[in-house]
Formats: sequence, structure tokens, C-alpha cells
Amino acid sequence: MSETQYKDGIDAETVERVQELDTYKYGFTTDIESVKAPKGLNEDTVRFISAKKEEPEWLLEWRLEAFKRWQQMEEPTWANVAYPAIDYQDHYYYAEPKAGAKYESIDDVPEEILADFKKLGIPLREAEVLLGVEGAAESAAAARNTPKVAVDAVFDSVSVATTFQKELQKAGVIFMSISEAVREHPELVRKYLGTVVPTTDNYFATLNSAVFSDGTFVYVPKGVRCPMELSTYFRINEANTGQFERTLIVADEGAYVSYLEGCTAPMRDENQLHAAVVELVTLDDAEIKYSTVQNWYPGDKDGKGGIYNFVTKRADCRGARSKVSWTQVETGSAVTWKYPSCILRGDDSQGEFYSIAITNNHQQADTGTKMVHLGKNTRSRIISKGISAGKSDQTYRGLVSIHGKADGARNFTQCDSLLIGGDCGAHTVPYVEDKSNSAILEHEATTSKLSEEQLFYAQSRGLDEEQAVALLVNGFVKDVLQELPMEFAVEAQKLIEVSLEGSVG
Amino acid sequence: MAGSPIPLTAFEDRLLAEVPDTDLAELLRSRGLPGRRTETWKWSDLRGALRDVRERSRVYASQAEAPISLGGATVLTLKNGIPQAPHGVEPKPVVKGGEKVGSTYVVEDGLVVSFYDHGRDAEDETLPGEELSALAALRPLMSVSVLPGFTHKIVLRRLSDGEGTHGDNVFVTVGEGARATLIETHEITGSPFVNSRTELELDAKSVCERYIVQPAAPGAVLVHSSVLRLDEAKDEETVKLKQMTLALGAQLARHETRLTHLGESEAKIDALYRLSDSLHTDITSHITFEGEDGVTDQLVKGIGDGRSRGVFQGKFLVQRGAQRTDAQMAHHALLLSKGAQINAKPELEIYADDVECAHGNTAGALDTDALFYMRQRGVPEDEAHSLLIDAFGGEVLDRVEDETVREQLAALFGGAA
Repeated sequence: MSETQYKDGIDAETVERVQELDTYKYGFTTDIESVKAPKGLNEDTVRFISAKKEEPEWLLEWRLEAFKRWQQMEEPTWANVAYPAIDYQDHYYYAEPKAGAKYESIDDVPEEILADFKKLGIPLREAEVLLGVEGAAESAAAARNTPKVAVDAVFDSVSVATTFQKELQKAGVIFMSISEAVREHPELVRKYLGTVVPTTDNYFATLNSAVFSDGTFVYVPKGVRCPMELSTYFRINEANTGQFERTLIVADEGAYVSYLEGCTAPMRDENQLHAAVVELVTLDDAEIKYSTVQNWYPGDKDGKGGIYNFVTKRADCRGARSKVSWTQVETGSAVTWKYPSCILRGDDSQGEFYSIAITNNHQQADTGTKMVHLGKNTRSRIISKGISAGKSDQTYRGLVSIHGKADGARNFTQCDSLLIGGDCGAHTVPYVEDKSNSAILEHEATTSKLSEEQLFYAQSRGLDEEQAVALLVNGFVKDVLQELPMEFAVEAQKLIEVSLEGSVG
Repeated sequence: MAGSPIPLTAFEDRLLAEVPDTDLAELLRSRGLPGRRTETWKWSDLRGALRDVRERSRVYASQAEAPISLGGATVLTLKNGIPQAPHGVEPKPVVKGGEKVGSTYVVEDGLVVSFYDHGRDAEDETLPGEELSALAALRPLMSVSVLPGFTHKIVLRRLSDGEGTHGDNVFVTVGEGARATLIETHEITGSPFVNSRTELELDAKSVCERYIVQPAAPGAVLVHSSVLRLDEAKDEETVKLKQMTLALGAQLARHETRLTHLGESEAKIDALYRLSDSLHTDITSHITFEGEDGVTDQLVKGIGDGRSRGVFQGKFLVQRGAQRTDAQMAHHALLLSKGAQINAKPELEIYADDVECAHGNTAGALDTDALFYMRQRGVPEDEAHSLLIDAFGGEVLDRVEDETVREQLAALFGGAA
């Protein structure tokens, strides 16, 4: 990209920012001494983590039981991804920055970490202008209108800072790391933990249950509309370290919360493991909007390094008229295995899944959703846009299941795939199970390439080929971008451009 | 896939005693027959339906009335898997290496039928998921060659009865430039397990219409595997195949089609199923585009009533380099009762970028607005129901070009209510 393309009136910061986007810019490492659990995984590792977090006995038992079960399980092979066997004994399962897990005040957080998050665009000092994700400031108008975002920052295995806790407390919203929540609100954690994704759920969720390190806990009480967006930023820094975050969000009757999640990791030649579990619970009339921009290090252009992202995300719409909306932009990770799902248990409950997944170079992604309709008049909507480029492979895998009692259930599914270049693959594997004679299910899928006429037109108007591709791809994913909170949408658009870097020409 | 061998059922024990010791036997020994734990059979539990020992079927002893009767058609018959010699035609021996391996009949000008004592070589490799087809391929082979100039329709009747088990193995070639209309029926009384196989090869410039008709067989277990190969275009003429399956259910019935487009060729792989009581039907197709310019247009529709289960699994695999593939898949199902269920898995696996591939899938009840409208216009409810159902199925039947065949299929479809 040459400078001449920037016209008058666009400030220097924007130009700089766009130039930065040329490569994976979050690949730096932060030098900070850390305390790690001994390498490998056995019962002692589980006890070590639990002791580090000063957990009550019941939680240790819960972890140990999960560990016992995990040892008898086999790693799933059904996903359309291939990677060398993971040596689970060759990872560290816990790493925390030296000098303690949680800092009393923001002033105690080591400068290196603050600087690291600042570099990532996540200022942790409340005094600073708080924006969820870097990039939003590009538009002055947007900056003025951007609401405050409370951030929980997770660095390797620990949460290092949570902002705006006091302000949230005034509204009755509990927003803290899950380790803190275990100590401060054990009754709430115990009531909901593992009730959506049980410890027996699947290989990676069971592993997570045994060794989960940190994550976020949110409880929005009855009738409260959370006054600001909540956000967690996950950062893997240590080498050879797995991150096993556990997030639990509960929206009580009539509550509403919008939650954002972002993730990055340094560029390393070896693969790193990230096995998270996210559980959402909505009671009557509650709503959770969960947005993710997943930008873990995808590996280099030859497929070396990158994060293995094996994630179980599930929402239980327990209450009548409750709603969960998942929106994800997946551009990172070497291998992705992720199916954010909704159990639509409450009558008239609603589930939504909006997804953009982009794979380039040697990335592999097997992602989709499950919508399980149990209650009457439950509704779900799935919009998935997959873009494959380079030598990457991508699969949409989804289940829509209508149980016998789900009278009047409705589902609409659309999955579109776009292939850029002849060396990639795009696959669609939807499962539909219908046991209700009053349900209506619609599913459509298309696979195509970028239209040559449109590319030609964009180029004849002065865009170069890469810009033209980015423009068309942005149009292709527009339905999903619209669902993202504004700050994320700007970031996501840029990410799309970066992810497709080098895919044409 | 990892895992230790599973304990075999009594049926499998007996079956394996008769299968030569090859990788097919090894596959079956390590995993058993496919069933609900097998990804591609999860909604059709064959293993569960065949637990008990079954003897080999005895000589066919029933009387069956053909579901399709076409004047002037050439009829070939298999009874409990055994090909019946055509009337009034002298066989000639087929000799291989000085040994008689079968007999051949020139049934009419342009139609040659041969019976072999053996099936395919047991040493051939078996791919996982193709065990049933491979098992059937071991049966004595019946080969049918259609040559240019042959104009009659061919009706291939498969008659089955009893409660034993049998298989059949039919190989049809449609020679270069030939045209063929092939109607295959599964006429089953009693409760046998039938493992049937048709391999169909269409040579360059040939055209084939193929119909598979399976009237309801409440006690029977049926697996019919079709392996189809379409030759590449020659002299700018493409091979064309139009296939339509009308399946009215069994205790368990699977109609599986595997089609390979080697290059430019056109196919319609349609199906219509209608199920009542606790009948089951599984329409599975696996279509591979190996070369450029393959075209498949697939329309599958189904109706489930009672406590029946309808299954549709469709897959398009577009291999690297198979540019300009045009593949369209649609499955639509109607559920008429509370106990019925429909399972669908319309799958795309695509490795080429210059393609047009799409699939659509819907499931739902009869359109209440349309019902309301008709009742308002004085049409009794029952009649309004049948009108809507006929219209729904009619969309598949309308794609049948041959009028006589279409009328008879429509009558069978209507009679399945």
C-alpha cells in the first residue's frame, strides 16, 4: 500500500493504523517473570491450580472428578481438521505473572502488563479514555458516542485487572474474574457452574473443567439492564502454556447484558492450546448478547505455529421469552473447533448465531452452532459466512434439533461460503432433526467465488485488487457485521482485510 | 478411528462366517454392521434392526403383482437374489481360462444379459461406509448390456419373500451412444433382509432414465446401493442420467446412490418418499465431481405420517480442479403427524473455487393458509389435504418425462396415503 492512496482530510493516525494492519500485529511477547505450575498434567497439577486460587473443597473435588473422567476419554476426531497429536504432558497448565495473581489496585499491576494491554488497545486505567477495542477511535463521532466498556483482562492464567467494578456494583451487576467470584459469591458460582456445559460434556470441556484457570463471571440481577458493555480480553503470553478460561454469565429475570470478548497471542513457532468453556444462562425475559472477535495467532504463512482453539460455548435459555445472541468474527487460530450453541428450553425463547469465519494460509476451522428447540414457539436464526483463501479449509457444522414438544418452533439457517483461490476448501455439514409437525425449518447454503464483474468494476474505479477483494468480502459478510457492537464492527472490518492479506495475486 | 473391536451380534457372527477373509471381513469384524453409532448411518440403525441370526433365504414362493406394468417392456427378474433365465432364449457359455464361469443370453437385438457364477474379486479394497455395497458385490453377478438401437424399456424386478437374508449384484452398462430406460422394482413380502446392489455405467454419448420403485414393505429390511459412473463428453455430446426413486418405506429401508462425474455430464438424482405408521426410509446420495463441468440437479421430497421416520443425507464432493461444477440440492419434507420425524443432512464439501453449489432444506407442516383457503371455497378438509400433498409430491413426479411411467408412479404415490 503506498501513501498516495490516502486522501486529504484523513488524519495521520488512521493512515498509521491501516499500515500497521499489514501483518499480525499482536505477535509481540512481553517479558515478565511468571510462576508456572510444573509442566505436565496429573492430579497434582489440578490440586496446584486449585490451591493457587484458594478454592473451596467442593470445587477441587469437582475438578478432580472431571480430571478422572478426562483420562478415560478419547480426543474427538469427527471434525474436519487435522493436526499432529497433542502431547498434553508437554504443556504448562498454569502461568501467572510473578508477584501474585490479582492486584489490589491498578497501581500494583506491573508496568509491563499494563503496557502490553495498552499496546493491544485495552487501557486498564479507568482514567484513560475507555474503548473496548482499538480502532474505534478512527471516527471522531464514534469516539464521542462510544459508551464506556468495563474490561476484565486475563493474562495467561490469571485475571490481572477488572475495571469499573464499583460503578457496576451500584447497579447490582457482579463483574469479576471467576476466581474472585468463587471466593466472593460461592453460592452463585456453585448454583450455575457446569449446569450448561457439564464436566462430562466433551473431551476439551472436561479438560477445561479440570484445569480451568481464569475467566469472567457476570451476574446481572433481576430487571437490571447492565449500564455498560462488559468485555474480557484474553492474552496468552507464556510459551508452551495452555489457556483454559472459564466464563459464566447469568442474566436473571428481565436482565440484559452485552458482553464482548477479544483474544490475541504472541507469534511462536510451536502450537499452543486454548480450550475454553463459556456458559450462559438466561432466566425469564432475560437477554445476553455475546460478541467475540477471535484473533489468536493463526500461524505463519507456511502453517507453522498458531493456536489450537478448542472451545465449548453454550447458552441455556431457561426462562420463557429469554434470548441469547452469539456473534463471532473468527479470523485467528491455526485450528478452530467451536460451536456456540443455544438450548432453547423456555417457551418463546430465542437463539441467534451470526458468524464470520475467515481462514487463510494453512488455517483450519470447523465451526458452527447447535440450536436445540425444547420449548414451545422457540425461534432460532443462523447466519454463517465463511471465507476460505490460501490453502485453508473451513467447515460449517451445525445442528438444528426440534423436539416433539417444541410446537410452533421456527428456524432459519443460511450459510454462505466464498472461496478465494483454487487451493482452499469450503464445506457445509448441517444436521436437521425435526420431530414436530408444527415446526417450520428453512435452510439454505451457497458456495461461490467472488464475481469477476464486481472485481473488475471495483478495480476500474481505482481500487487495487486486494482492496477490491476486501470491499466485496465486506459486502458478503455485511449481514453479520451489522450485528456487532459498533466498536467491534470497525475492528472486524479491518481484521477481514488483514486476514485476507496475500490471498490474491 | 481408534477403539477396540466391538462384540458382534448373532447376525454378524453368522454373516462373517460366510465372508472371505479380506479387509471387508476385517472392517466388519472391527466395527460390526453400520448403525446409529456410525456417522453416515446414525438415523438408520441397520445393526439394531439385524441382531438375530437369519438363515439364507429359501426359494421364492410368493405371487407378486408388479407395481409397474409397461406394455412392450423387457422384464428381467431376480427371485430372492437369484437371476431368472429369460424365456425362450438359448444360453451360451461364458468361458474364462478354459473354464465356464457363466452363461450369456442375447435377449433381443441390442440387449445382452449374462449370469456369472461369482461376484467381484473378494480381494478388492473396501472403503469404510461401503461395506454393504461390497457385501452385495460378492454375490453372483448379473450383467446387462444395452447397445445402441435398443428401444424397449427394461423392467428389473427384484422379488423377495420369507424371513431370511439374501443379496443381489447387478451390473448395467449403457454402451456408447445408446439410450436406456431402466425401471427397478423391489417387491418384498414377508420380512427378509435384502442387500441389493446396482452398478450402472454410462458410456460416452449415452442417455439413461432410471426409476427405482419400492412399495411399502413393513416387515422388511432393505439396503439398495447404487454405484453410478458417467463418462466424459465426447464430440460435444454429454452423458445424461435422470434417476428417480419412489420409496414407500420398510421396517428399515436405505436407498444409497454414489455417483461420480468424471467430467462434463449431467445428472438428476431425484427421490420422493411417503411414509405412514412406523415405516422408515433413508435416501442417501454421495455425488463426486472429479472432472470439470459436471452438473447435478437434485430434488428430494418426503412426507411423514404416523410414527414414521424419513431420512435424507445428500453430499456433494467437488474435488480440487473440478471447475465449473454446477451442483444444486434440495430436500423438502412435510410432517403430517405429531409422532413422525424427519432427519436431514445436506452436505457440501468443496475444493474448487469456480463452482456454483447450493443446497436448500425445509421441513414443516401443511400450509394452513392454503388449507383455510380451500375450505373456504368449499373443499372438504380431507380433500384439501390430499390436494396439497399431491401438489407437493407432484413437483418431483413432474420431472419424469415418460408419461406412462409418471402416471403409474403418481398412482403408487397417491395409493400410499
